[in-house]
Amino acid sequence: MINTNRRGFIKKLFIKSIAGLTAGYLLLNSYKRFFSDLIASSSEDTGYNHKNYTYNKKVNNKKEAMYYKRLGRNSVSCTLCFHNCTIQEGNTGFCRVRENSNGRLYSLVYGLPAGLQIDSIEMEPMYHMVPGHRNLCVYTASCNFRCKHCHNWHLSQRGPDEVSYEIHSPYEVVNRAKNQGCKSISHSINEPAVFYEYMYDIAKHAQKEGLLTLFHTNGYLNPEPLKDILKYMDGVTVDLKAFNESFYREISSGSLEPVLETLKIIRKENVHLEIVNLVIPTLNDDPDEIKQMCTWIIDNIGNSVPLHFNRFSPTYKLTDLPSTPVNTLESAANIAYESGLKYVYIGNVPAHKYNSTYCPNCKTKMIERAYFSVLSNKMENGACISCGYEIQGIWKS
Amino acid sequence: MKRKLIFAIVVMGFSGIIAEIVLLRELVITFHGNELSIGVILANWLLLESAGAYFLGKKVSRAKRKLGLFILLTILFTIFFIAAIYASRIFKDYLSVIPGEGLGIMPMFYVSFLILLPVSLLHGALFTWGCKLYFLYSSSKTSKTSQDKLSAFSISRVYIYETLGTMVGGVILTYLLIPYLHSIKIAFVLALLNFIICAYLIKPFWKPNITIQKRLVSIFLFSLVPLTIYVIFSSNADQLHFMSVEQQWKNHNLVHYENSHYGNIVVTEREGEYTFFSDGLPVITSPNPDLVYVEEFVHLPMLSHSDPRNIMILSGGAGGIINEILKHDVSRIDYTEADPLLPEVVKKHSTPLTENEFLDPRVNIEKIDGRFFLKRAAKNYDIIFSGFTDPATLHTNRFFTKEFFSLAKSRLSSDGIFILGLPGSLTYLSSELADLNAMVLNTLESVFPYVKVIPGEINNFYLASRSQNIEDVSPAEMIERKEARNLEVNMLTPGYIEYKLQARWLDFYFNNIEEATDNINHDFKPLGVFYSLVYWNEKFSPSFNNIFKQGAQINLYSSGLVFILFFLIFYTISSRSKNFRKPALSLCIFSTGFAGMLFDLILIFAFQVLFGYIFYWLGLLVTAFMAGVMVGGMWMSSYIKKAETAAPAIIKLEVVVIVFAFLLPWIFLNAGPLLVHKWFDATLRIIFLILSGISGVLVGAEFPLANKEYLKLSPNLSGTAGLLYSSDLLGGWLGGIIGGVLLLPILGIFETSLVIVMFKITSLAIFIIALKKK
Ligand code: SF4
Ligand SMILES: [Zn+2]
Repeated sequence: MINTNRRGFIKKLFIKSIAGLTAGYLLLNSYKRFFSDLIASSSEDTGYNHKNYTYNKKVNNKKEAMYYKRLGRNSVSCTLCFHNCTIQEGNTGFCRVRENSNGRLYSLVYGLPAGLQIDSIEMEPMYHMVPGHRNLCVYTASCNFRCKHCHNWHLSQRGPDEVSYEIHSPYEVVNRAKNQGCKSISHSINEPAVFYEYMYDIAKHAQKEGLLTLFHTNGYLNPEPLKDILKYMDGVTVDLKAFNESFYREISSGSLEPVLETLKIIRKENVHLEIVNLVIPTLNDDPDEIKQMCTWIIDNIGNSVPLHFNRFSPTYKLTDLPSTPVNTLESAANIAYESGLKYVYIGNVPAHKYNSTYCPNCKTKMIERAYFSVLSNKMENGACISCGYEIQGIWKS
Repeated sequence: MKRKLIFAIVVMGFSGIIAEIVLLRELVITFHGNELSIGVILANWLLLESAGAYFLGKKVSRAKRKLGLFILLTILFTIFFIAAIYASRIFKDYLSVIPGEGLGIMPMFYVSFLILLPVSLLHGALFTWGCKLYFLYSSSKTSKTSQDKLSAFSISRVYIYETLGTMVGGVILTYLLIPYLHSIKIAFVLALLNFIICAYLIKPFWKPNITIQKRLVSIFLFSLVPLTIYVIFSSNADQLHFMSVEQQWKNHNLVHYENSHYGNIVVTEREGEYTFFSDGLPVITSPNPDLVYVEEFVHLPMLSHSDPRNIMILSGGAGGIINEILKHDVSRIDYTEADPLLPEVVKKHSTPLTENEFLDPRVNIEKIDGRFFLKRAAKNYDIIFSGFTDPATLHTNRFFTKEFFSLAKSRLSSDGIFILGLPGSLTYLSSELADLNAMVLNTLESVFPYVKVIPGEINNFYLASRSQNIEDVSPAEMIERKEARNLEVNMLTPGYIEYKLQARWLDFYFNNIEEATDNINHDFKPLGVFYSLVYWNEKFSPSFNNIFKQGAQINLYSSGLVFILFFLIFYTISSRSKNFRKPALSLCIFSTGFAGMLFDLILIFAFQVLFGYIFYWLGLLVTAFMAGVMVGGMWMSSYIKKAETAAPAIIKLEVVVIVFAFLLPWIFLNAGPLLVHKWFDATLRIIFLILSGISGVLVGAEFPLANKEYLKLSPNLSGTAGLLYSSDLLGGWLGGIIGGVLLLPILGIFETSLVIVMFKITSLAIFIIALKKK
């Protein structure tokens, strides 16, 4: 009895619910005009559109690396940067863009920049190189560091197969720079060491064509490739991220010693050098540390190298820190001046007085800057207009 | 004894909700408070609680000293709660992350799992033990025959009392505890309450005829009470609080720490610079804000307008923006901030910059939801600044939707400008960043005839207007205005304005978003949340994004397929078991838990969309839901006391849930346009409360019925209570983890409701088949 009852009940229920749903559907239709827009949106295709560029192994730009040793059993040892990776067949090094294929090491990004961008030279930063000129900047995917505060993490912390790219031979890059009225070509944004061969060919050609060349690096190159590239470079900006080993290890996955070595080599090769120190609250802003750094610079590089203290603001993974107090930057700058450095700058604080260049001798404001715009330039032939003091740098293109 | 136990169970529910919310708030300060992290934390809580109810709960039938163990579990629960608060503040130190480093989804998952583990596991177990105890203390007076009726009745009673506790706890926590006490103190107050209850549960030590053991336990419990009172009123609790907070903010000079309904605000001072953190993320730096952002954001639109007078800022105005705006000759600035605490704290730790902003008579600060304010604003603004930086939560997404942009448009003067900023880059836009930007641009373009993009290295700015002026205005004209208004700015030199507006940046921008999404962000289909989460996740665990991208493919057809597949698998596996009805019942409860969580989410979300983020009302909605659960539970538990079988009632209820899920979204979809009428506003709020109540009733009603049915099949009370309670929580877990991140953003509330419908139809079908099988 119960069973049949139940069956009957279920039947009725089904009929009722189907009737209900149909009625509901009709109701829905009748309301359509009230929210036609929303209904339309709900039937939209919401598939996640993802540009899917992947590195195409058939692109003939694949270029054999310039610095590596073959180790037998098809493994190789890359000698380009201080990571000195040993790479097995089919694998890539720490930087993701050098691949061992059949016992040979190839650069995966040769001729494949993620972009070419034109901006003013002050953006690099490079303050002592023909102020205010247009500079073309070359960059690719990946990096040999893993800084947790990288501004360009979309590029530097991705492999070549995760970043879209353009195809430009070194000649095209140089031509573009000239056509666009640029006076220089820089290699920055990501670490240029990872696209060394490409940079090498661009720089070599660019100098021939009368352009200035520079690169902005973390300074982690091995001495030999470094010396080789310096032959074709007019300027180098080096990030001296901190003056303590643990910062390099924990925040950047690198180490300090090689960077100091690089600075010395650049000095010895007599290439124009500028140093950038991004001051991050609690991580590398200890005044004693800054003092030590300045002393080291003066003892090993000299006191005429421009030093930039840049303001940090939260980025990438370092999101939970305050921006650098301007007072901290000012005291860092004062420490640097007191130590004897001649050209000290504060960056990322627009229109701060230390955006500008002062004559170390008579203190005249020579190049006035606001952020990276050059407002006035009172220099003549690389010397102070009022006292004739010669300012270190490249002032003619 | 029964009455004592009822008290204990109410307190258990009360403690549960307080622990859950307090720990959620503590964890969000260290994690990023986006929809994903909130989802992960809540989901872990539910998952663990359900495991506790089932696995630990099962043990109750074999345990000897049931009451003693119940007391022990309660005490452990309160102690672990205090420890968990402490742990959530200091774990970063032990996780070998750099101070200041944010956390990705994986560490978020396992850290919150580990921290919540003992607390929610124990709380889940307490439920099952409570059921058994309640049964034991009620059964002494009843005859053996009605035992199984009584079991079902006991479980539903405990469920009701627990819900009552939850409801009261939620209200007391939000209105009485959070605004006045810090978390550690709240935890101690809770401990006190629990200790009192424990002492009250057993025979007091001064009574004759009890064993030495019991007497000792009683003395111990009674001594805990004054001890806790001492800790609360002495400085000990505060010390513990300060110790943990200092460790959480070590290396910083902490000058302010305060909670409001909306979240946590911390102020640090360093070399004269004040940084204001909201839920762990820096939001204001004073007196030296990020000048690049502030100057571009303010002056680009201000100079694009010929004579900006009436200004509106939706959030984020203090600490630079207002100061820059005041450099123009404006007549009034309306500035809204939803969390009233933020402007207060800024005022308290003022610097010349913020003092200037707050003391200027033209500045009118409204501590209210911006969208809510704008809707009621009678004025026409010349410029509306939206200070929201991304649509990472369902709450902030409301400021990036087509409907909101339409509202903003209607509050602009004829040549007024609406401006917002998003993360950007001038070197490379990843596909995630491109999608986020493209979606907002598409949405703006669907509302405004003129949208001007100003790409930037860190921020892309979007200026939208009804007037073509924003496109026609040339850099030269802007420079002229700058001179005419005598603006004293630092960075925005004439050269910079020209540079900033060069066409090549636009070429770069449009080239990069060419292949990005065509989608539009809607109030009730908040895709922005999804794109924003994908972008955020790209930083921390890019490999995880493949899962997200898979998730983005969901639509009604694929979810339909999933349910059909699920049906077949469930059927083949379970129909072989001796009693198919058992898994069918837990499935019903599971899907109801799922539906209940989503109803709650949809109602809260829809309310915010229609009325704004009003804390008081959101609290009311949750309370109405809880009250509904209680009413539903009581109603059905009295029904099952009489009825022989609950099956027909379950079927009816399932059908009602289906119909309710089907109708729910229509109300909101149709309500929006009607809201222009004043009378409708109040009516609709009441309707929201009623709907919350009804969804609660539906969820609450099913639980006693399912218990009744289940106990007919297996008389094991604690097993049943544990299993069904954990099914309910697991359903909520599933709804919580995919609801806010995938279902609502990608499908929208309309289709999400249809997913609920499909799920409920599946569980209903399985239940009916199970009934037919003998
Ligand atoms: S360049 Fe790349 S592969 Fe070579 S050593 Fe450095 S990280 Fe390794
Ligand atoms: Zn001089």
